[in-house]
Amino acid sequence: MRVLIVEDEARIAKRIKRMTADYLRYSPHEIVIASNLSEARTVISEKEIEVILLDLNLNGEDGFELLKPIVAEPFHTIIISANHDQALKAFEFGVLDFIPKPFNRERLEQALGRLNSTMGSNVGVNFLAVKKRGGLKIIKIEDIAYLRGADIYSELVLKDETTELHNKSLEKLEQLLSPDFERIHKSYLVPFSAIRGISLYPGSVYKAILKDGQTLPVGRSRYKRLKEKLTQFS
Amino acid sequence: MSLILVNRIFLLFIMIAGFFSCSNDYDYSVSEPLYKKAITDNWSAELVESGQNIAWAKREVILEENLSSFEALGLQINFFGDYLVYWDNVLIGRNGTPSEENINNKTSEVDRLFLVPDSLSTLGLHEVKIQFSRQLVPKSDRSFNLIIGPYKKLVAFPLKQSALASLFAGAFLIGGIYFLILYLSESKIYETLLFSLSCFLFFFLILLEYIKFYIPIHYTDFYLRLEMVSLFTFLISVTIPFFFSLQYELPKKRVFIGSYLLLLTLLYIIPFGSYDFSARMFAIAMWGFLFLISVVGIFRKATGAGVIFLGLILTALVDVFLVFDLSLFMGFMFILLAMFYIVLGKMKLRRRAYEASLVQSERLRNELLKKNIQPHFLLNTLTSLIDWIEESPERGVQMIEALAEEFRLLNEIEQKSLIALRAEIRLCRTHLEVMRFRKEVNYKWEEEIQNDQIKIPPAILHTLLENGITHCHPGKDNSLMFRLECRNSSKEILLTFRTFGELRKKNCDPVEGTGIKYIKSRLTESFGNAWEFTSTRMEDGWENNIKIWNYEGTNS
Repeated sequence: MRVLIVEDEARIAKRIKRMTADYLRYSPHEIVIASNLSEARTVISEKEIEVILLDLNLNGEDGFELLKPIVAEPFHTIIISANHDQALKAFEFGVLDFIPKPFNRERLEQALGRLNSTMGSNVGVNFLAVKKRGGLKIIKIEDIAYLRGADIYSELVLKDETTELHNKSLEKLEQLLSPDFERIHKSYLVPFSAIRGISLYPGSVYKAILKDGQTLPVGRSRYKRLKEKLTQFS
Repeated sequence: MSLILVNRIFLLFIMIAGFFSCSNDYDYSVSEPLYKKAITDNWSAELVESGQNIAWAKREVILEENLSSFEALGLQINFFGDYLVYWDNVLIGRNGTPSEENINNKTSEVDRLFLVPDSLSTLGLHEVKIQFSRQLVPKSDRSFNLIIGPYKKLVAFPLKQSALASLFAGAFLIGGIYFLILYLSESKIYETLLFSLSCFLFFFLILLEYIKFYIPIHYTDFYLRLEMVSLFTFLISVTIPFFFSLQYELPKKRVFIGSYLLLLTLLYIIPFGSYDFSARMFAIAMWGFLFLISVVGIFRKATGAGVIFLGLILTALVDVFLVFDLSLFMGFMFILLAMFYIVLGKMKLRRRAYEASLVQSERLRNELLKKNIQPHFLLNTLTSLIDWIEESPERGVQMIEALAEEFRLLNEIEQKSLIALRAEIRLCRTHLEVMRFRKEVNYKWEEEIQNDQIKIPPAILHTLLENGITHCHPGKDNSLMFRLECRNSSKEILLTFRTFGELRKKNCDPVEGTGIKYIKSRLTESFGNAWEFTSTRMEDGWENNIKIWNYEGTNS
């Protein structure tokens, strides 16, 4: 696991590194510290990072401006910040967790633990930033019809029938989206409220029928749970 | 609202004016005056000189109206000289001591009222004759004037006029005194002083005008009074437009003011023959100048210009409808009201500015206090502190001590608007100590101070230091140097604060953040506009310069 810590306070950076190294001691890991954003960008471009631990107020810069391009990256973002009132907004941007300073070992480990969990986020992201040539495009969650896995990326299929490509895998996006988003298939993530029902098709193929008429495949292992949930809420 | 008020006042004036504008409506006719020197001469229309002796003047009157029962007839004579009055050759009164006039004992009066006996005031033709001497101004050409009417009315008329005038005079006197005291004790706004002066001038003008009604004026003093009235009218014509021209920026100010003053001087010097006429000319000149100013003011949308314009229109209306003396005072009452409005406006602005500065000072003090507890500073420091304690408790304690010292120093200075440079430097160095623990950068401090007891606003250098730490990268040896230079003379202070390091953002200038705003607000609070603050990039870092040149005039 390769971790990037972006923190301008040397003491705090060392603390985060120490605690993270301890948490990851049973698996191979590499932890890099960058003290400013340009250093961070260099590291991101040169190495494959799996998670970034980011301070929002680096050297007095506006955290959210630098957060937007970062959440468009394939790796997860965990914020460690002194500005607690930025937490809610950070989650809306799509961060995995927000650790307020000062923090202790337990809190940091709790955040790192979420990397492997499959649960969605309580707050739920409000929009997804998509990297495009020349900049960033912001997609509102409510404009998304469903998400489809595409190798290590995800396709965001919008209600207006256009498609955008997000750098994060479907698994990662599942961790950021609200629990309303149901993983109906290895490659499909759909808002539960958009599902009208499930049908069985010849060849033991299950399909979910959306309220707009579209059909999406339902994974065999996931069918039962989805059915239960549907009957529960219908 | 103020319009309704002005309307009401105007109506009140009209009523009062109407009350005694028609002083006398008694029906009679009077012939032209005739004069003769010796009793044996023939009467002629030419005025004669009495010389050291007596001369004679007469006028014939025809009474055409019956008086009501028990009402007496009055004869009012306006004349320069001492005389005996005969009604149909009956001696009915005396004014002074004819042919025995004494310059040291002036007893005669220019205006004098005589009671005509009942028996003599029948309808028809009568002769009014005076035996007079005019020894003290023999060359005077003042003619023999008289007015006839019910005695009571003739007595009452000047009293009523004086009553109303005294009302105004009293108001102006009180206004003058009040605004003078206000100016001296607190206000120091020049408009207040000018307004007070205008009130006093008006007070004296009215006093002089109406003094003739209740103090007997000898004919030798007659023109003196008029000269003084003229002088005061001139002074008012200068003062009031001066007040207004200071309010509004006139184009080609000098040309206008110069030509106006020239006009006034000409009017003062040129003898128009009638004092009333001169006074009227002054009034018209002043009205014209004010009209010009108010029009310019309206175009420039200046405050109060509309009020003055309205006042001038009302003045003109009053002048059209009323007799001259009264119209002058009433008319310019409106102008004075307009001035009053402006003075109040200025006082209100003053007060608002003062209150705003109090609020601002409070705000700055709050900002200073909050420096302690900004989440970024406090929580990052505490996180560092936790780590230090876990690693090395002794170092942790040292960090706590440095932090405590910084809090203590900030607490000490937060109430003040100026602190000694030495205290500010101590604050900065303590801050650096705390930051060393946090950032693990070797911060260095150098200073070259001429006099460390000079007073500067609190936390200015502290803010610059914070900015320096944020915006500059330590060098390859992990050190960052700060250098403070301070030079001062008795009136000026020059502070130079430099940070030596690599700039984090190479290409952009820092946006004016809250830190810089704080510094500028503090400088304004203590030094008004007499300071200059620059913040520029150097080859090897960042340089801030603060120059203050009002050092002497500061308040702690």
